[in-house]
Amino acid sequence: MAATHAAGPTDVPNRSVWERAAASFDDWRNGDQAALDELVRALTPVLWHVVRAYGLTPAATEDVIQTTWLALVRHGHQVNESAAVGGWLLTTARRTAWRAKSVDGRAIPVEDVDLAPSLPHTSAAESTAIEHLSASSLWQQVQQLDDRCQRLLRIVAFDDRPDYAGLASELGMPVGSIGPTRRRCLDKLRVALQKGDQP
Amino acid sequence: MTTPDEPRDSLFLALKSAYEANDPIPEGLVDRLLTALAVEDLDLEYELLTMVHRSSQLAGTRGGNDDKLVMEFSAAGVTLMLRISPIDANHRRIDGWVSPAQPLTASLWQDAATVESAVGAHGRFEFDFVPRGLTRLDLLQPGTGSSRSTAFRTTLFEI
Repeated sequence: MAATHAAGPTDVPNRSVWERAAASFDDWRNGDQAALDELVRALTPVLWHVVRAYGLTPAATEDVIQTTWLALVRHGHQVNESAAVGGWLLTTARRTAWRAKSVDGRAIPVEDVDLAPSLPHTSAAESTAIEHLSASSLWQQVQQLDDRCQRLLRIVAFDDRPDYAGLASELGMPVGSIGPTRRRCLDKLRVALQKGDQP
Repeated sequence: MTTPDEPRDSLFLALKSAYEANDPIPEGLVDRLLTALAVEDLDLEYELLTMVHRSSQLAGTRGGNDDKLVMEFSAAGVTLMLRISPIDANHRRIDGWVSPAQPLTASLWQDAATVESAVGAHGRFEFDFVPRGLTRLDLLQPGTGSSRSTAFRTTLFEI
């Protein structure tokens, strides 16, 4: 867990993904075509996780993300302030995902990712056995949460300033209950983790 | 978007890492998106057909080269179905169906080249020998030369 705070080189300002996106968007609007590439590289990972939270297949998720970026290059003039570009993209992606999910009324195929046993994450050779255990048990416990909790937590994990009104209507709950639901989902996960870590 | 929020919980950081590790963004996704943006013609007006369904019908081993692919795209009032069948390791046949049927020409884009096929009275069209790769399909309105315009366009997809 602590590894997520790993600092980059000290001479690089630790700018958030949103700040980098806003700067790239500004540059692009001022005629720097390469800045669009930077924007796509910076925000596509966030869009991936937020759209996947809607239960779409990888192929449908790619399509939603492509539609979102096409919308930006066509309608980017609607974004008044560069700082709002992240929110504009996320809102567009969530709406498109929601629509794709509603049109495709057929059952969403069960994804390998949902059922595959959690393999230990072995990217860091120095990881201790305890870190393996907690990372894999976190993933297992997340899978046990109800769909609404999974969707809400995944969206909020990647979008730290979510549009609560939009989320509320998609999740079928009043705006005022998003915050409490989010806390309840987190508490559930925390309790499950505590239980799961004690054999 | 700007709703004031409680401080970020450290559990969220762990959750984020768990999703990144267990459902990472697909390899090549950013490059495919950059290609889609690079080939976009901003002067052109059309309805974007978005993919609403894609499924493989497995003919042999999982993910094998014999898979038939069915895709459905939709825009306001129009549905486009594509069935993509393997011919050999590098080529595909595409059978398309536009609903409701209307006088259009299907134009298949791949790697800066296009081929065309007329949409029949029942909304059907076909491309019988198509290389694998990133593909886009335009539905063109009737007419000749510059009087013909793109009515619908799919997103870029892999076949």
